[in-house]
Amino acid sequence: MIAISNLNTCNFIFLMLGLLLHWTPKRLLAAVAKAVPATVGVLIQFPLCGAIATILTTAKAAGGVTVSGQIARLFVSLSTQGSFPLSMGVYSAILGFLIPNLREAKAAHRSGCLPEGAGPLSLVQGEDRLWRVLNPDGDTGRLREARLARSGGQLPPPANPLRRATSRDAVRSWTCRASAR
Amino acid sequence: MGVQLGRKAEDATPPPQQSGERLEHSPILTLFLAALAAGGWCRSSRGRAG
Repeated sequence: MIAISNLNTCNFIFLMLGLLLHWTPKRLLAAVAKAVPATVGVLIQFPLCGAIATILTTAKAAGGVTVSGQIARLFVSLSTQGSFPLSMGVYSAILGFLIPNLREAKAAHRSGCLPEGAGPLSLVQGEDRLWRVLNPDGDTGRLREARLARSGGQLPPPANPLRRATSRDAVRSWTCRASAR
Repeated sequence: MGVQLGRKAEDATPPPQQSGERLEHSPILTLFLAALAAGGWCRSSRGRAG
C-alpha cells in the first residue's frame, strides 16, 4: 500500500504531477516563473537539492558506507593540521562552480558531506559535524565532553582522527594568524 | 466566473535557440524522471510495508 506519509511525499507528488501535466521541463519552469516569480528558484531547486543531499548522506553501499562518508574520509586522509582549512577552501570553490546560485543549497550539501572551512569558528563546528558523519552511532564532541564531566574524567580518550588534525589549538593559532594579517 | 481554460498564445514557450536547449523542450526527460520516480516510490513503499 502506497502511503502519503509526510510533506516530502506531497512535494514529490506535486512536482512530478506538474512535470507530467506541463509535459516538458521548459513549460513547467515557465509556468512556475509566471505564477510565483519571486520564489521560482527555491520551489523547483530546493526539493531537488534536498533529494541529492539525502542520497549523498543516507544511501548506503554494501559495506554500509555512504557517499558523504567516503568523501569525508578522503578529505580527512588528505588533510593535515595546516592544510585542512586550505582543502576546505578549495572544496568550497569547486562546489561554487557546481551549485553557483543557492547559498543554502551549498550549505546543505556541505553540512551533509564535509565540514565548513570558511572560518575558524565553523572549523570547530565542522569537526563535530564530520565526526558525526564518520561515526553516526558514536558520541559527538559536546556529548562526549558532557559525559566526561559527569563521570569525573573516567572515559577513555576519543578516537576521533580529526582531534589530531584540527584541534582547538590549531583553530586558535589559525585565528591568530588570520587576525595578524 | 470569467475563467477561460485552454492555452493562450502568451503561454507558448519560444523554440530552442541552441542545440543544448532541445532536451528541456522535449518530454524525454519528463518521462524518464516520472518513470524513475514512480519506480523508486513504489519500491520504497513496498519495502516500508513489507
